[in-house]
Amino acid sequence: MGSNAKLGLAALSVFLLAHTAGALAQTRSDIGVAAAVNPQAEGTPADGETRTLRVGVNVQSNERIVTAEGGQAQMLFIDESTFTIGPNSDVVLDEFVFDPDTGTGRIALTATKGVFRMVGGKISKRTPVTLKTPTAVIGIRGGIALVNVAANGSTQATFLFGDAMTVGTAGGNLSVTRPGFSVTAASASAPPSNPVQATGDQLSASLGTLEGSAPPADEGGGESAGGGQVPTNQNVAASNIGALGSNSAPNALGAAAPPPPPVGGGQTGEQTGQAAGRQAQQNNTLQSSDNLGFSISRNFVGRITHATRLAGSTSSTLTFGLDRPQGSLDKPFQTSSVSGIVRRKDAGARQGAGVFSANLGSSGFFRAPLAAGTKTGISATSQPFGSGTLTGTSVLSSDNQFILYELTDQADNHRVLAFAGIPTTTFPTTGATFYKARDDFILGSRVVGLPAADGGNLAVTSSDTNAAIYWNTSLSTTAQRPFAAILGGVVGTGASQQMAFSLFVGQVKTDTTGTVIEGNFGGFSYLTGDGASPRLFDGRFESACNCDNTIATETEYDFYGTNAAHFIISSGDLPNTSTLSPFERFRGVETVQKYNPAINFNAATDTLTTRSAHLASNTGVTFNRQLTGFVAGVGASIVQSGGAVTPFTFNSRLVDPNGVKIQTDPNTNKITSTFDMVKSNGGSDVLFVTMGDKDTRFGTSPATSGKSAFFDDETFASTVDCDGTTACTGVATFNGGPAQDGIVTMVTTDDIRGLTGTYANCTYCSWGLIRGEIAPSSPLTFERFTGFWTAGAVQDLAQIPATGTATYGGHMVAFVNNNGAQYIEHGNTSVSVNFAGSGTNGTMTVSNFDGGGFTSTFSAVTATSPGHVFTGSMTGTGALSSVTGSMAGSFFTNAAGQAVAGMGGKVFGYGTVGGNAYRFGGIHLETCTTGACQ
Amino acid sequence: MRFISKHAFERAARLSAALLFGLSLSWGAIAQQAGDSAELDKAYDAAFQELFQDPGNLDKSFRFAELAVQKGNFEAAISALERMLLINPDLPRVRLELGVLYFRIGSYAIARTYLTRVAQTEDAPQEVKDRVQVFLAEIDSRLTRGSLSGSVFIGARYSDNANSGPNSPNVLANGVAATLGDQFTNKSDRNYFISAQVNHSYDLLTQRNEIIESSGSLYASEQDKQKQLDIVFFEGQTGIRGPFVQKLVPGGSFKPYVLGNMVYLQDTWYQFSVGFGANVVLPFTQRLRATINLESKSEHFRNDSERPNASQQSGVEGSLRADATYALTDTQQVGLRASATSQEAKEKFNAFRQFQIGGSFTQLVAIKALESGPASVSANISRSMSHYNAPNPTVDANRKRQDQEWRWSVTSAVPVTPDWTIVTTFQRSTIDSSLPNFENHSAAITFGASRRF
Repeated sequence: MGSNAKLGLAALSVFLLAHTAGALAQTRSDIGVAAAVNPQAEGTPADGETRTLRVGVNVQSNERIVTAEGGQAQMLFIDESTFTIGPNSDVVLDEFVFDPDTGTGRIALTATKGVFRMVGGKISKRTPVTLKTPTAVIGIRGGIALVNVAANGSTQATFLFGDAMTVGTAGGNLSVTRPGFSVTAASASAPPSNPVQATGDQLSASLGTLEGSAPPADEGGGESAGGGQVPTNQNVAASNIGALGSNSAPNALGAAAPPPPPVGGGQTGEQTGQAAGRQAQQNNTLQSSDNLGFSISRNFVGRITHATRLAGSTSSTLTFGLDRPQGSLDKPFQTSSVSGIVRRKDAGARQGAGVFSANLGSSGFFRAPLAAGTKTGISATSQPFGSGTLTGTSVLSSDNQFILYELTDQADNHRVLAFAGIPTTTFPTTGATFYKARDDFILGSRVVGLPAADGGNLAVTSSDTNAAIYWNTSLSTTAQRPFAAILGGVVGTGASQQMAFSLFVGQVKTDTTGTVIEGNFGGFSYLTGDGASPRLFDGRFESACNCDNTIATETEYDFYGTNAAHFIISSGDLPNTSTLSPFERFRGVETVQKYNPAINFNAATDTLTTRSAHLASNTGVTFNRQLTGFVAGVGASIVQSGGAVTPFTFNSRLVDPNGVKIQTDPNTNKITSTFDMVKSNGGSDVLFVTMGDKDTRFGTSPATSGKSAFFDDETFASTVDCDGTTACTGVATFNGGPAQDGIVTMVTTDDIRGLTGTYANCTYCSWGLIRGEIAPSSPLTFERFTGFWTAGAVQDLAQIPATGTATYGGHMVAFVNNNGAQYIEHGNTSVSVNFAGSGTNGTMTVSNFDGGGFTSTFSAVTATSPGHVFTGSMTGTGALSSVTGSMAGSFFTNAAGQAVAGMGGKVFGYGTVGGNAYRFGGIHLETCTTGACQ
Repeated sequence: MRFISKHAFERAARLSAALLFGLSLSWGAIAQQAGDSAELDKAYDAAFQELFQDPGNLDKSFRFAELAVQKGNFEAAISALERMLLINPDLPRVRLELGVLYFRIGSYAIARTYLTRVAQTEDAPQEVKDRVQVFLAEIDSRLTRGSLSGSVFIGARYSDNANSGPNSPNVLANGVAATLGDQFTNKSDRNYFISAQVNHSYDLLTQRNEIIESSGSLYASEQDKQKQLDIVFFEGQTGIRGPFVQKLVPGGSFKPYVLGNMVYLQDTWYQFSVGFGANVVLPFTQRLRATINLESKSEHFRNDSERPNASQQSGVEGSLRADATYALTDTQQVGLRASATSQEAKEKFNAFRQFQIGGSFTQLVAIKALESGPASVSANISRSMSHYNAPNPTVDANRKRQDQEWRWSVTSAVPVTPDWTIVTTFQRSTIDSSLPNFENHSAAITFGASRRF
């Protein structure tokens, strides 16, 4: 072999050896390779010598890499991560462990100065790459970070991408998760700064140190100073990189724009606005029941009446009130419109502005404002009676089913009444309804049926429950639905007292014309200066609404609202005679509205715990029985021509308690009552009246008679109105002969409204008022009277205890005629009874009666057929010391059969008080307090 | 069918939904295109090994970078391109691609740094600069700390029952059959309206990406005849949205907020409300997204001469609502919603409980003539039941109000320009009620133009 060959072979061997050594070195602890180098960059392996790094040179674990000014290098590690080192940097690749099968491992570096960029590979996806600097330990998980270590060790780390970058010092740790934020660790002891957004200049400066400072000299694709090809713009343009990146629109690339914030609640302004508007509209429509929202047009019927004469007259023969012919003064209507039903509300709420409009056919319209409740000062906007303005009060019931107008015609001062309502179609069939009477507007009277000047304008209480209808018709086919009412009362006491009463008895009946109410009323009053004669008022009432405008085929509506909540009555038809009945004193139109108090009745104990002042619950004990009793009162006999007046007292004629007989019939809701009366002191005439079951005006059939009303054994009323001797025969007689006319009314009561005092109350012992007038054929007088009666279940004498004593307490009420002044007085009674067989005797003391009282002794209760009676005399005391009288009575039994549970009877007498004639007539009624009566 | 980008769908669907319900439809990211195949992985690995053995080889570097992008390993592509800049910094195209790569991974700040450098390079090719500007504009909008967006909708509406009057004039008043005054029966009418919504977000620059989200709505409408329905409605709410539910659903967010609104009727303020609520957004998958909203507000109504009893409605309203949307395909989406509302009121007859359920279907339709994106057609149907707490004695003291409503609508949204969309809606509503006063039906058509900003 020649020497050249030998040298070449040696060189080749050296070359081969060198490369072999390098290859051997690569496998020994190689973790990566220098992928790009700008001189100068040197690497010093842990157990090796420093070498200049060039592209392709492998780097090892624990190798230290140092770059000079201008020197840069990028290490490409076997897990695909890269670590770029900027100029003037000093870093040690402390640890690199990688398992290519699992992709896990660990990378740890220590840098003392310089700028670095870490782009993580497979290892960092699982385990953070740690870079330790003089002041901090930085962990980079799954991402890219820039780290700048100053000469003094201060470290600034910028997170560019990935899961998180942690920066830890002795003073604390924090984590950065938002790309573009930097943290600074100024010293090893101080906590790292809060992340701040890296500025563009800061990033640009960092990037600048990691890029070549100038294009290489050879840009023609040759090799760079550090090895490796020099990339050119042409290379890049020729590559497919642009097609996969910049050639696409930004939004087409991976990172989606963040969605706009969702709107809480999910409704747009349009939806919500529209919903609000709709809701407001619906609520406005709802509330429009308060203001012009609704019209009720079905079955609204009513009537309007214009009074032709003013009410008022004290003459007993003068007719007054209004005529009731069909025509322009009295107009029914069957249809009406009511626009804007106004709902009754609590105080403070809007009352609304409704309109009531009644179509009166050719007469025009009646229109007036309509408001909730009662509203004064309203004026009709249209009226059929002329040109005058009608001004007054409107009333709308709380159930919006009944409307009333009480107006005054400003042109002629006449009164106008208009009413309308929804007729009741379904009536109650059980129980009773209690009603409250409204003042009589036409007459200007508080006491319905009485003219104002005849006592109607007395300040008597009219707001109590004082009228009732009993609906139970299930017991028999002939049962009626009775109606009874007592209105009015007294004002004052003694001789200055004035009184006005109106008693109603009627029935509710249903016929081809509808369901109507009809009956009689009888009123009376005593006013100052009236003298001995009471003023009497009688009349008949019936359905107020002749609403089809044709008498012959009247369709009458009396009741309005649900369950007959309202009804209205007017004066009854005139009889078909050319002359008016002398007792037809009154005509008018009244309204009655419902009032429903709480009545507590305990049927088991047969005790009423609460009882209205005038008419009680209908739920008392009822059975067929006869009540017997007593009556007494005062009256006056008036000569028909000339008018001479003779006062008298009267009392039950028969000594036994059969002067008053009341037969109750709960099966028909009727009673028949007879009052057999005889005058005392002022005559001896006998007045006899039968009330209830016979009435010539309305027929003799009980089914058609409305002359009595029976609710229970303590609540009933009856009346009679006979016209002519034939009709009055057996019904109203005077001294045994028939009267020309007779009108009498009786009704139970609990007290005298306006007259304070304690009033006895017991089962089967009732008391009440009676008033009336009989005009005998001979002499031609008017026998007017007012009195009290009491009746109960009277046992036979044998039922009275034979031994023992008892005391009773109660009241005495009587009409008094004192020197011409008429009034009602009340006193308390106290009775002591000694039951000694036929010798039963007792004393009765009356106290607080008209400034005095009475004492009475009665003895020897005697048998009558049937029943029993005791009698006694009365001696006045106190202011009544010059008055004497008589008393009589019986013991009344109760439902338990106690024969002497109560007692009552008549009292009457006369004398003088202060030298002036004094007469009284009335009743006493007591209930057992102690002793053998219990 | 021309390919409809997911973002166009998103924009169109979002617009129509905002007009209808104010829902935002966000599709989330569409799955990246095919790149995860085994062959790609194999090629990528091989390319890395070659690169590792010869890192100075440009061809191998480009090859590796391309495969990395295809595979979705943007970091590896970044490394490869940054390596080139280390050798030759005068590579605007490389900077452009680096900027795009960083943009793709959401690192906008560094992306902007790279792209800005290109923009400042005088001799950079113009087409490169043009692409840089496109991306810089998008980055600027995404990096803005406070952003304002919204929409305006101007239009007209015709309804055959604008005042929600009952079907029949035969109603109840105090339990009695009555005839409703003519002025309160159903009346048709037109109205002209403007509706605007403004959304503002403000980045608090916290590491948890919390933002202050605020929105405001305005609706003003003027009726042709039913002037009592002239309405102006304001609503605003603000809260902080943050990734508090990330652990439940990645990408989920939670936002407590406060709200207030005010309603004017006929230039008089009628109602105002204040309240608070919470909203949770749960993007379960790229296709399935749900929103839950819980809200309570105190409503105050004011009486006036026209509405003297409005204050009876005052009370607290509580509501819970859930919505879910699912993208069947890139062009079809279905939605479901359910809600429960409890409304208290001063007068118990105004208080009620309401339950509602509904569904929707949206179809995107590509129209060749339209350059601004696809049109959309949405169909919606809902059923609600309302039970009122007490009878209203004004109507019937013995009968409580119970309403059942069917409502359905069809909406089309056609983007005629990049900014303007023509929206047409036909809607029908039928309410059956236990009280004749509230039974009503209505049909309405709305036509208008919407603009987003």
